[in-house]
Amino acid sequence: MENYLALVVGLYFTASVYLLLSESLIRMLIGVALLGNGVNLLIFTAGRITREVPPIIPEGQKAVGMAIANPLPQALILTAIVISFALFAFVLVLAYRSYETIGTDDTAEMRLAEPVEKSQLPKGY
Amino acid sequence: MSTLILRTIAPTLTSLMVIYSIVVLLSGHNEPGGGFIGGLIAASAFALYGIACGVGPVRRAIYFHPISIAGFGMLLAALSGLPSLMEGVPYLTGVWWFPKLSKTVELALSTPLFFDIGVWLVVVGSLVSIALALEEKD
Amino acid sequence: MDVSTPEGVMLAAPTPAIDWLILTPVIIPLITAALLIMMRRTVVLHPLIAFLGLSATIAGNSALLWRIYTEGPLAMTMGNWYPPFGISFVADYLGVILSLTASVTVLMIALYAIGDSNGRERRFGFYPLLMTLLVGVNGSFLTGDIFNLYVWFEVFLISSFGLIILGGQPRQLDGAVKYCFLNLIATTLFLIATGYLYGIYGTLNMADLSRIISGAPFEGSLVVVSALYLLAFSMKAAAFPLFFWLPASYHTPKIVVSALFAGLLTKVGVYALLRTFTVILPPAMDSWIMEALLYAGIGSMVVGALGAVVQTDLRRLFSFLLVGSIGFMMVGLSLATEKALAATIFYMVHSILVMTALFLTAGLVDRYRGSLDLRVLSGVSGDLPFLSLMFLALVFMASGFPPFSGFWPKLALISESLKVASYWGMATIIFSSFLSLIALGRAFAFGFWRPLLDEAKPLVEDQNLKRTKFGKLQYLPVMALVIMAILIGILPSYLFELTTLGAKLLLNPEPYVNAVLGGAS
Repeated sequence: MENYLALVVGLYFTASVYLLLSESLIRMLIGVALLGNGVNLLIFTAGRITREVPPIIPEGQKAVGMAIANPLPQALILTAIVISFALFAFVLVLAYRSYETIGTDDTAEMRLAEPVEKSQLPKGY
Repeated sequence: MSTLILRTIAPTLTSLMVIYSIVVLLSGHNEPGGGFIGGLIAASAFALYGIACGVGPVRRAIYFHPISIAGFGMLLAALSGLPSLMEGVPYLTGVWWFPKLSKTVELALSTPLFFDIGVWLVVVGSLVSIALALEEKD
Repeated sequence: MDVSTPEGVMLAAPTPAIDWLILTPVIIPLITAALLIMMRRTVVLHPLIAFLGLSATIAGNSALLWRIYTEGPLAMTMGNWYPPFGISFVADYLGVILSLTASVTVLMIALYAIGDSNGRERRFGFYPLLMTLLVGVNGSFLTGDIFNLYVWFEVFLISSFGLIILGGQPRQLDGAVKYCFLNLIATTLFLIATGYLYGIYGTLNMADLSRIISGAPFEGSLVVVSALYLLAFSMKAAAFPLFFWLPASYHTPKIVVSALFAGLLTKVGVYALLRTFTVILPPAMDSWIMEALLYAGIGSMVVGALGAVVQTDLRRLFSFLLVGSIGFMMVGLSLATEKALAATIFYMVHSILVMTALFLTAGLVDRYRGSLDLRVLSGVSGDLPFLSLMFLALVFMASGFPPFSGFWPKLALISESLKVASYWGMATIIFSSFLSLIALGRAFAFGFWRPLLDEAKPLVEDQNLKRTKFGKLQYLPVMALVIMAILIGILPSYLFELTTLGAKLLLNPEPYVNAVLGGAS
């Protein structure tokens, strides 16, 4: 099972790298989202896939006596999902606003911060 | 979006959803639920109310600014770790009190509960502020 | 850890109240940030509350430094879980020195911003974002859990996203897009590496990892994880092949925000490199990772110095100098000897103070001149002799003139390079220091020393009308930063003593591990 999931993670990363290499902002956004999902699946797989009991301690006992599913990956993934959701929402709004203001979503044409100009150095420089 | 049907049902639905979100919040420690998921339910309730009746009524209904609510939640969550200082245990360790209201009724108060309420407030505050900002644009 | 004995799961020994000092650098700014967020209506009080909160943070942080100086590293595992399972906070010299420096720097930024942020920006959340940024940075310096490190990275990242677009100018949005995407990808790479690490070793506690990994051969999946961490943190630190986002974005936000970022954010990346390749992954210290760090460092120094020489915008010039200073730290890490690491930590403290001061000086110049373009900027020394004097001092510090603070770590690192016969690193340090002196000296000669140009006069008069009543107060934080840097330069032995202790702990993390795991397992 882990091998198949590892392949899927690889596909996610491939697709996201391909999209991130694009010059269009919206494709890069989708690439970032895919990358985040791929990481979550990676952590899920890294926690080992088992068909075992949920990690809930039965009533009246202080510990689970048997083999249980790993409870940590879901906590890590939930944290990562919440964080990447917040960051993605921010970047989405930022991309939209910069598209509105700058008038292009082509990163090659976004040169406001670093204008293409022939450098005119001051005299004696 | 604000049809007659939605406008009629929205206040009832919103209050039911908020009550349900509080039930989910309070049952969180021992059963499925908790501050995060409860906060999501409450935030969607306010978002629904905003769709039905407009943003103004929602802002009046929650009285405080949503971001201030989120700030208060952050404060509550941060402070809920401090009572364990008195007990000589590390930060965020659960500390419990069992105040007796009468001979038979006993409350189970704990710092994880206050932490969860803080999380609930943070989620409600931040998501409501995002939802209202989006609804205001239309 | 045996799960079947539930009594062993919880720690029995009570936590003394003094151990709570370890939380002060994170909790006090967090509570202050929460209070500031709640007080949306009374933004007038924001600076005062931030000042009080930051002073308390610095007091707590200094006490923590004293505590670990007298009794050794300190650890606390949240929620009373047994260490490898709970999230630990560990205070060692490296983390505490840096978090103290960061807190002091943020205090200076907060003071400077009193006269520099208007009501609208404050309502948008300048001070709350400043405090949450400090929470994230200090949390990164003190946490002992690598997934938690990721969370703190994201905390300061989202605050920096908020700060970088404050003001909303079109060129700011352009810079912010590049900053945000690159940093988002870097932290995701960090998370990928952490996922692998967890999959291999089943633990995320730094001390536990250090115990398990030390002595393991550097091969197989460990190489993959190390390479990913190297890539992710180098991107964060803006080191040589991955530095392009920094000069593309750091000159666009408000100057006070630039100063904050230049001081703190890239250093967190360097901190993560230092922590990862010494304490967490000790086998990487004898591998090609160190060579990669050396070449990345050499590249950063060359690019930073050459870039600084050709820039005419003062802030972009400083951005390239920042890239160069990151290169210096990476070379220091790549040598991986005690003295070199001590010099690196010393240089980090120096760089935080001096870079922030340089950007803030640029902010003052911009306030009086309305431009930072060296083609127009002129005659500052005639009008503002004191400010020019401070800038000149900063020029000497940043380029490593004796007896200023930049000189000592450079001297230590050069002598250490000679000892381990790493001549390229040494040659580049000298070369890049020389070029930065040229770049900065030229900035001084053109912007400050040169008499006022005719075409700059209308700009100056226009700007004189715009000054606000807090103008003089803004000198105070710059002065304080310069004085601190001068003191470090004149009396380097005190800081060197602390950083040497920090370097010892990095190379021999046994006390660190014992502080967390209690020396038992």
